[in-house]
Amino acid sequence: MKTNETDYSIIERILSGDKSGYRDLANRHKDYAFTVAYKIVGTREDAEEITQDAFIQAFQALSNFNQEAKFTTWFYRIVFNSALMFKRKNRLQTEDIELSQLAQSVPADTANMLKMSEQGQFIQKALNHLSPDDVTMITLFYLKELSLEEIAQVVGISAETVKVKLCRARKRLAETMNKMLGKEVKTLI
Amino acid sequence: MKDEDIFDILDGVPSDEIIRKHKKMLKESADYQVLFGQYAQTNALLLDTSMEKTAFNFTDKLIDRWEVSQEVVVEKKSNKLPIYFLIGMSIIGILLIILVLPIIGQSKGQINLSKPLSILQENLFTRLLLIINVLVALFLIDIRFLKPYFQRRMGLK
Repeated sequence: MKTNETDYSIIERILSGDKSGYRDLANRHKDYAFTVAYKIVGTREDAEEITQDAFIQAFQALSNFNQEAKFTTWFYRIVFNSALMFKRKNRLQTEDIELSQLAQSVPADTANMLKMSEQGQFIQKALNHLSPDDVTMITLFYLKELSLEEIAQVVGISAETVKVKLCRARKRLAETMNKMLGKEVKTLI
Repeated sequence: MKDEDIFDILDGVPSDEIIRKHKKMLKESADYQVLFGQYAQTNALLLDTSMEKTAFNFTDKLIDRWEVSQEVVVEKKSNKLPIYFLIGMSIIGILLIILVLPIIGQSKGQINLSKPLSILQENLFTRLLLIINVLVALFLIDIRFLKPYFQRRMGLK
């Protein structure tokens, strides 16, 4: 639901009392924010809760929002931090499955089962084994909406550090996927 | 070849020097072929990363939550009202005790019930008038200042 109206003008409308602006702002950014949260926490229900909390936080702080900054980087930073906090709180409750066990649980006809529609789930499983930082780097980079500089603003580090961290994250993901499926991953493409 | 260089190739932003080294290593090193293949496969899967969709009623739920959270703020403000009320009542109580106790103390044996009109000549009448004046003053302060103030804070005006 993208329109020509900028985030700034929607925020202006909200601050001048137009409550429909909240809905417009949410519709515009909900999918991206939800995707970032989902990739980090791994479940749709939790991701939706986190995204809603992030929107509420953003709405409450709108009057303090520095309009010289970009709304998306400011807002995605809230989403990122909320998801990170959630992940830390729930770290002890998450399943600690060894990669070897996970590999054993994959059926023999993995190649066919993971075709196309299940590739996303497979990647999500692999992402679940990475740190939230790594997941964020990979997600923000491959969604292709933010530049390295903007990703740096979202996670609060320099663009150079983002590049280094992104490289390490991609390497770790490749290793994880390799451990999970070994040679079978080749058949996915 | 560093990992960063390999990812530059996959992202389509390698320097000429990196491309040259990459081509050379692909021909000469089996380990490099495996590593590059592994990174390329992961990259290909990730390139299909698409935006997830929220539930269809996400925005409605969000707006409902936002409106409820706004109401909670108003409610929090109104929760202070009983405290102000208790403070006000305590002040009135203290004033009454200060004014009434001396009257009771002095009035013992001084009020002649058989001559009720004599009360007009004694302190009791004056003090009662004083109490009534204080109560009326508090009532007026409440109407003129306190009530509008709390109504403004509660967002009723």
